[in-house]
Amino acid sequence: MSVQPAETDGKKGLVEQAWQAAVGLVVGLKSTLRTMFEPKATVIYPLEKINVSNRWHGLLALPIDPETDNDKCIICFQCERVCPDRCIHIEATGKGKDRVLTRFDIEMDKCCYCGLCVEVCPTEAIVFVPHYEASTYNRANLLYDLDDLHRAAPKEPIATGVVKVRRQVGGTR
Amino acid sequence: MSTDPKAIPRSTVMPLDRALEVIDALPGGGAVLTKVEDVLNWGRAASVWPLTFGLACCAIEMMQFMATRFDADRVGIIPRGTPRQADCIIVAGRATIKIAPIVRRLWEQMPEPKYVVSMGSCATCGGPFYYDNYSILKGIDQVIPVDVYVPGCPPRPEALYEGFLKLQEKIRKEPFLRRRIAAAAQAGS
Amino acid sequence: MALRTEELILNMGPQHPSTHGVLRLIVTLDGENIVDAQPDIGYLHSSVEKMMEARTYLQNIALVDRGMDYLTAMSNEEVWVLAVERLAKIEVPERAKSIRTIMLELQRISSHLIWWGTFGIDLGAFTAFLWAMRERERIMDLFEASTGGRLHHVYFRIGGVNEDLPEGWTDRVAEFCDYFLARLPEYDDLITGNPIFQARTKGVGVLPLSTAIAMGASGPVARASGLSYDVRKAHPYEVYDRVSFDIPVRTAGDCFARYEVRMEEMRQSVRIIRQCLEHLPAGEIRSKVQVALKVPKGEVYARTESPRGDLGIYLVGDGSDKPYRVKIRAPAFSNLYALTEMMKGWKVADVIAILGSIDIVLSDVDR
Ligand code: SF4
Ligand code: SF4
Ligand code: SF4
Repeated sequence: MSVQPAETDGKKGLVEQAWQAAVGLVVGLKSTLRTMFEPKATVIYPLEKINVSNRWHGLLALPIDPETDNDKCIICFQCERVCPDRCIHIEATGKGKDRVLTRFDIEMDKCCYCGLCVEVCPTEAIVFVPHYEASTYNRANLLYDLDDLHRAAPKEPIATGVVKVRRQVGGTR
Repeated sequence: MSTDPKAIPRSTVMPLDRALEVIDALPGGGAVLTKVEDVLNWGRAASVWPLTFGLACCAIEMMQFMATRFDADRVGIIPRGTPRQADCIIVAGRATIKIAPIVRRLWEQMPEPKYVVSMGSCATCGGPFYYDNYSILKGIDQVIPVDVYVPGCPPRPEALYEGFLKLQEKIRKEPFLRRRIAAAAQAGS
Repeated sequence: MALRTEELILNMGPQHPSTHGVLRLIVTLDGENIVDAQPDIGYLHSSVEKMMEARTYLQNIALVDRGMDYLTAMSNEEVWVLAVERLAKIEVPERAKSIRTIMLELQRISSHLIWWGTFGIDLGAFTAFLWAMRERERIMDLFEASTGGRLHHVYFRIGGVNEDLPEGWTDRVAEFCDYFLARLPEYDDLITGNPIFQARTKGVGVLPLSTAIAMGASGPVARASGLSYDVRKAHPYEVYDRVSFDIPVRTAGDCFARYEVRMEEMRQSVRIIRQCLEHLPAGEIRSKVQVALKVPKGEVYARTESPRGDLGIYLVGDGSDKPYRVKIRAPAFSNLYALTEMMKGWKVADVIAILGSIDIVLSDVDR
């Protein structure tokens, strides 16, 4: 059994202790006071937004290539195979050049945003978009099908730093 | 309900089961009720007090959400340590089968009206722990009803914030008083 | 004549504001004194070791981030890729090694900051939490810029790292190091020198050296008891054999010693980061490794120094692209073992201080 700390006895100990505590309090308060005059660390979120870095693992999307007016997916199933959560589901019909996607679903609720699918994709068909606001009342909304994934791609280039935005409630869905 | 014959039935003291009909029949009664409801809901939406119940990694982002940069306190999201004082529970992280009854009990201890925010993939459906796993619950909505799902692994603090904005929207639209009166009438009759 | 008293059993948790997750402590009390304290674990058991057998070596990087100690995702990735690289005999380029070391030390600082903040809350200092989180957000920004994730990165790859550092990142890290070193004296003002804090931690929860060794404690908990052992020195990995740093050791073995060790470790981490930044070699960041890597038959044990202590992985490969068996040696689990010894004989008010000082993460305990 370990030793208990010695009880401080006598008046002098108490006075000294109180004095020490007061000094400690003043030293601590001085530091906190200094912080008051520093630039604010808080971001007023719905009014200001921190633009995420361009490597941010946000939601997934299949952006439309303006040249072909379609996504760049060549239906190689690599992303489906590498996904550790098995949340990508791809189906296709046809042979060779005429192969078309009939199903490209990503279960955004199961996805762990690891980025392995983006890494293995040979044509950069599947990308991360700098969006993260997708909360919903219904879990079924988190199953993104091909249309959703096409729509999720960003239209504008990505900026960085804190930006002011109009007050808005709710995300894209 | 009391079976004591001498006890006055509650409905004779306050005919609650007819209260809604009466209010709606009065000229402007329904509108006044809605206005009162709006004010109440505005107050409720601006002070959602969540229970701090961190389960796994998402709890760290929840801490960030309540700390310096995002500072949830400024919009009335004040974390509480006990379920009796909380309006809302943030299920932050994966729930195991062992912890599931405790989550349920905490939820039952919270006073009505209560809300649940499911934060992260794990709380939503099991997420990365969905397959090949024997111990994680496949979604917290198997034990408690969820109001808002926030996807992400972990969701950014802003994403959780957006979830709360959604929750506030939901609270603002709720026919809170009507539901309360109807519930009281049902209990009284 | 002694008064006959009954022992009282007190259940703390699993939902308790200061149990740092879902830990249940069964404390047996004799009046105010703790007779026994038994942790009830398993509330966060995620069966990671079993899941790893069903995933390929690459996919497992995403899993160890989450399934093991979630505060130190980089350390988990490190120990996993280290084990696979040793078994498959894969060379790592020099630049990748340096980048990994920087990331590991940044992760150590961020993990210790969380501990510092929550320890402050436990002992009644809310400012500490806010300050620690403010600094941590800066590290999160650095991580986000280079890895794309805030908490879970999936950045290390077998044979290197995923992407090269973005432009200007090293300057930002250097800037952060200066900023952080300037902040540390303020921390000392606020908490370390505070007499109330010292009264609550000095001499409390003493863990003697022999008990620490017998219980298998490691990391700051063991070093505060006088065990001068650090895997980074004893079994160097990455570039730790080429940077100079000290291992802070205290002999008191109490809560305050554990506190001091961690504070000093943060300073040493900054020192390591600065040296790595200075000698960051150019060149490749990743050697060629297939996506479906097949690891030869055999077994290997890799160990690293995570912020919580000696983190090891025992890996058995069977020649396929999935591991045959993985065993994780979790530092927080062994440190929690020592908790019972630390608690015996103290007052019930000290439970929180002692629990906070060993810095457990339940995900690491339960896996
Ligand atoms: S980010 Fe990871 S978990 Fe999500 S779909 Fe891609 S590979 Fe699967
Ligand atoms: S890896 Fe890329 S090209 Fe291949 S199926 Fe997936 S999205 Fe399409
Ligand atoms: S969703 Fe991701 S971050 Fe959240 S608890 Fe699950 S694994 Fe951890």
